[in-house]
Amino acid sequence: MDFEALRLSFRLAAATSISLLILGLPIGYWLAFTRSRLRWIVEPVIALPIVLPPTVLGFCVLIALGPRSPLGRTLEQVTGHSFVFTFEGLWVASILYSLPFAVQPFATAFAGVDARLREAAACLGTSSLGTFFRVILPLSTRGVLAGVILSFAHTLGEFGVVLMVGGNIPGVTRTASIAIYDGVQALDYSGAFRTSAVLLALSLLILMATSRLLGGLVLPGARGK
Amino acid sequence: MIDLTKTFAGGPTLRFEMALRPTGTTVLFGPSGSGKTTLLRMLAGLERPDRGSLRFGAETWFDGVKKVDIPTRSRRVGYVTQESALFPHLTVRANVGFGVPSAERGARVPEMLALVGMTGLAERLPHELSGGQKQRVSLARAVAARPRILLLDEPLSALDATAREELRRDLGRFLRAISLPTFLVTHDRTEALALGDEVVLIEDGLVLQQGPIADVFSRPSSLAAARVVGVEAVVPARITARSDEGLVTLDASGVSLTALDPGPTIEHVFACIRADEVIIEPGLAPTSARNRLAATVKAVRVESALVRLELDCGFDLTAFITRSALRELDLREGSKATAVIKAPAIHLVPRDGDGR
Repeated sequence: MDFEALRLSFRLAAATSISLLILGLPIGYWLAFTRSRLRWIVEPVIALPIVLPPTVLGFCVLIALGPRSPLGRTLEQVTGHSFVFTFEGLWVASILYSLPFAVQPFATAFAGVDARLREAAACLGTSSLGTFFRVILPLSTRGVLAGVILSFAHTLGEFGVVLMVGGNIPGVTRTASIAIYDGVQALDYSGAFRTSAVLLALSLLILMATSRLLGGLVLPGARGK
Repeated sequence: MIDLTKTFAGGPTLRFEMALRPTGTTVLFGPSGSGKTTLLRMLAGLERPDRGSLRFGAETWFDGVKKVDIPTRSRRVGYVTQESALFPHLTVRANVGFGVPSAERGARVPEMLALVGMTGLAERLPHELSGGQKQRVSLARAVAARPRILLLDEPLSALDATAREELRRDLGRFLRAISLPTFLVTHDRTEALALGDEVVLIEDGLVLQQGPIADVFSRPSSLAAARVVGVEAVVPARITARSDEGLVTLDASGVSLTALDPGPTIEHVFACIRADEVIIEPGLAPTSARNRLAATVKAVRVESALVRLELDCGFDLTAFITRSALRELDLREGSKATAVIKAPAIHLVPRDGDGR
């Protein structure tokens, strides 16, 4: 069993879901309450990773972070190294890839908070930010937790994106799913089996916990409203 | 000053023009769907008018031309709705303290809880409260934040009859204790009479009449206004004596009336007498008889099959009689007659305190 790869996968999943918690809350809030027309563009763009082949997304990120793109060059100047084939590159790609799995449960939960409670808070002199932290967020904990868990689980299992952006560098970008693929390629079936078994058991546990938490099936939440 | 217009797509246009009174309780009275709630929501800044202006004292809250729209949180309005919107994850104490700066909470919250009689339930969560208790907490929460104006949207109508009556009485005391300018939306006459100082009659998004409540309810200025309030004399009165038989004697503008006892401890009331409950007899009454009032006919108005008599019997009273009765009684302006009212037909609405 490739412990190093499993550890890396967990690190990546944790970094991604924590980042998405921070990044996803404002995006989810905006999607839940905006009346802007931009919504009709932003929403499908965020949901794109659900339908897009991971290799396509990975390829886009690879190009965007690569030395030929302005973004890639800027990042290299600021951080001193390239993002492609690094853990940071994987992290950026995973955030994009798992974005809908965090943002959609967030937005659904926020929109589900009774509008009269938001009005009551406004009448009591509370700012939008205060209302978010004192009313909306406490009443959306289950949705937020579901989003975090789903993005964690989703990152844990990603393959195509990781392979495109990170390649297969042991200890840097070789995650569990890539280690399994590698194991099979090298005819190391027993190693691949053990790593797979760990991932399978963990995924099931995570989904069971989520289901328990939400009092029902996870899938409808994962696929948006 | 209020001058607001709101049009709903494919629906009615509401147009409100009225003065914003600096004190007392103004009742927005009218049938369901007349636009009362929308007006209240525009005052709170929860609904955006299409045109017009809204000034509170020297401040402009909304001006369609100058593009002024002060957000709700800066208007400092206390807003209580029909179904209480308490924060379900917070205790009664935390709900009441929600809009209070944290340094003030320790003193302000217990004071407000005491005012609404909820001191013992401070640690409860909203789902552990009855409907009436929830409304008490909503009131306390709204007022705790020191609003400059209180907006009550049918605060009693979701309650059952017993709870409604109890809270109505307490609400009267509460409103006098806090003495904030208050707008109360209702379509319930009793509630309007029990709690209001002024009334604004609203129908189909238009202000029909505005004035002191007893005046407007007794003397609707138009047929449309009369349709909204009904034709009923509303006379301020004081209970002077109680009998063992469940009757009370009233002093209504110097006239003695007998009615059913509305309950102990009540002293000041509005005596409400519907026009179709008044019987007219020819000639002057023997002075001592119960609810037989000497009346002078002030006006005779023929309205379709019925004739509307406007009488002066110490207070203004309206009676409906048929055309044939008018001929038999031979009544015209200045005629003397006797108005007879059965004791149960006098509906008493308790007014808390000094009978403003």
